[in-house]
Amino acid sequence: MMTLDQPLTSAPANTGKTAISVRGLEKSYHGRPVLKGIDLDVRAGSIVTLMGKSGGGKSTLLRCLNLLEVPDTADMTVLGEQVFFSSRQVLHDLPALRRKIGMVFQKFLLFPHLTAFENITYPQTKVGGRSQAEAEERAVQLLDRVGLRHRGLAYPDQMSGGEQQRVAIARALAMNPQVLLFDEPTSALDPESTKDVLAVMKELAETGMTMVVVTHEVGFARDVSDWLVFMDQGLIAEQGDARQVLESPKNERTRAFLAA
Amino acid sequence: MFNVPWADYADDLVDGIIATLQYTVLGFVGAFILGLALALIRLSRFKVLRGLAAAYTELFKNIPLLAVIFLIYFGLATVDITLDVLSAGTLSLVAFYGAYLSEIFRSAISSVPTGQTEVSLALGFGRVSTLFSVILPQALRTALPGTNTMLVDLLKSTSLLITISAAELMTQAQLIASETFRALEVYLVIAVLYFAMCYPLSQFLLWLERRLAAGKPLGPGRRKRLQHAAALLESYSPAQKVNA
Ligand SMILES: Nc1ncnc2c1ncn2[C@@H]1O[C@H](COP(=O)(O)OP(=O)(O)OP(=O)(O)O)[C@@H](O)[C@H]1O
Ligand SMILES: [Mg+2]
Repeated sequence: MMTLDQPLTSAPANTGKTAISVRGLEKSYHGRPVLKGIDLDVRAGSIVTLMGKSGGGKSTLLRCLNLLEVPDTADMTVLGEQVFFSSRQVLHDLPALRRKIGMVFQKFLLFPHLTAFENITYPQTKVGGRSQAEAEERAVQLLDRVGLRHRGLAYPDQMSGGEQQRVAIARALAMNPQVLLFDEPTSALDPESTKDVLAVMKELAETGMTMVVVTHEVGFARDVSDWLVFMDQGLIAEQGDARQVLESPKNERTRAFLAA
Repeated sequence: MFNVPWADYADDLVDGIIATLQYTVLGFVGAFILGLALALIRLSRFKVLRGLAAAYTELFKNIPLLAVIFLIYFGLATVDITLDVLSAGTLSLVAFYGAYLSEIFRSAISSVPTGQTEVSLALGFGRVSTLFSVILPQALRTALPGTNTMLVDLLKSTSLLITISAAELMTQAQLIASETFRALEVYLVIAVLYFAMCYPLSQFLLWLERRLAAGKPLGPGRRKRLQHAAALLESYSPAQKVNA
C-alpha cells in the first residue's frame, strides 16, 4: 500500500550532485552538423533553461539526453550512469533510463484513446511495475495536484491545450522520474493556459525536481531557473546564472536575441 | 408459392448456417492475423521481407476469390497437395482477405502520429511494447470501419465455397433446390437467411464503432475500471493526507 502523503515528486532535495553531464556532443543530420560540440552540466535539483533562435539545436540536444536521438559522438553520464562514450552507446537498457527521465512535449502527446486518468495509470502498470490500485491512487493525487481532478474522465480531445499539457506533466511525474525534460511546453498554448502550466512547473521546481526546459518564456527563465543556456547554430553561445545572463548578456547573439 | 417442405430441411439449413459461420470465424481470425503480420512486415526495416509482403498483397488483391479457391483446392491437388474442403476453403478466405486487411491495417498504423511513438519511448516503453501497447490500440480503432466491412464481405463470400461443396448454406440451398425443383422459393429463403446473418452483424459492428468513437468502454473490464476511477476522483480529498 502506498502512503497517501506522497509528495508530488520523489525527487531528492537539491544535493548539488551532477545529474547530467555532457561533453563534446556532436550530432548531424544527413551530413549537416546540428550540434557541434556541446558541453553541459545539469546539477541535481537545478532548473536549466535552454533558449535560442529557431533551428539552433535546442530540441535535438534535449532529445539526445534521453537518447531519443543518438549523438554521433559524446561523453554522456546521466544519473550516475555512463550512457554514451566517444561514438558508442554504452548503456543498453534505454527503457530503464527513460523511466528515470520524464519528457514533456510541445504537442502534449497524450494517448488520444484513453481518458486523462488512464493516460496516467497506463504507463505505470504497463512498464512502471505498479499494480492497478497503486497506479490509480497515484493518478488521483497527481490530477489533484495539477488542478484537474474534475477532468479525470475526459478524453484528450475534450480538453483544452493547457489541460492536456498538465495531464502530460502528471503522466510523466507518475513514473517518479528524477529529471524532467520540457521541450517548449507552452509554445502551443494561449496566455491563460500558459500561466497554468508555468505555475505547475514552478511548483515542481520548488520540490527540488531537476528540470531542463526549452522555452521562450523569459519570465520563467528569470524567476524559476537557476541556469540559462543560450544556444546558437549548434553551439552554446553563452551560459551562466540565469539572472546574470538575462541582465547583462556577454555574447553578441544573446544580446540580439534578448533585445528582439 | 411456399411448397417446399421446409420442416424436412430444417436440419440441413441449420448445418449450412453453422458451416457458414464456421468458415466466417476461421477465415476472419486467420485473415486478421495474416493481415496484421503482413502490415507489420511492410512497415518494418527488412527490405526483402517488405518487398515479399507487398508482392503478396498485390497478387491476392488482383485475382478473384473464386480463382484462389480453385487454385488451392483443385490446383494444389494436381501437385499432390490434397487439402480437405474445410482447410482449402478456410485457407482461401485467409489468403484473400488477409491481403485486404493488411492494406487497411498498414494505412491505419501509418496514420498514428510519430509523436505517439516518441512519447511512449520517452515514458520508458520498449520498442515492442510501444508497438503493441500504444500504437496498435490506436491503429485498430482507425481500422475498425474497414475491418468491419471486410468481415461482412467475408461472410457473404463463403457462398463461393459452393464450388467445392463446402456444405455451407449455399451448398445446402443448391441441394434443396435440386430435390424440390423450387429454385425461386429456395433461393429467396436462402437470401433472407444471409440477410438475417449479415444485417444484424453489420448493425452490431456499427454500434461498436459508434460506442468507440464516443469513448464508451467496450468491455466490462474497462467499464468497471472507469467507474472505479470516477469514484476515486470524486472521493479523494487532499486532507486525507493528514491522518495517513
Ligand atoms: N530528424 C531530423 N532530420 C533532419 N534534420 C533535422 C531533424 N531534426 C532536426 N533537424 C534539423 O536540425 C536543426 C536543429 O533543429 P532543432 O529542432 O534541434 O532546433 P530548435 O532549436 O529546437 O528549433 P525550434 O526553436 O524551431 O524548435 C534544424 O535545422 C532542423 O531542421
Ligand atoms: Mg525545438
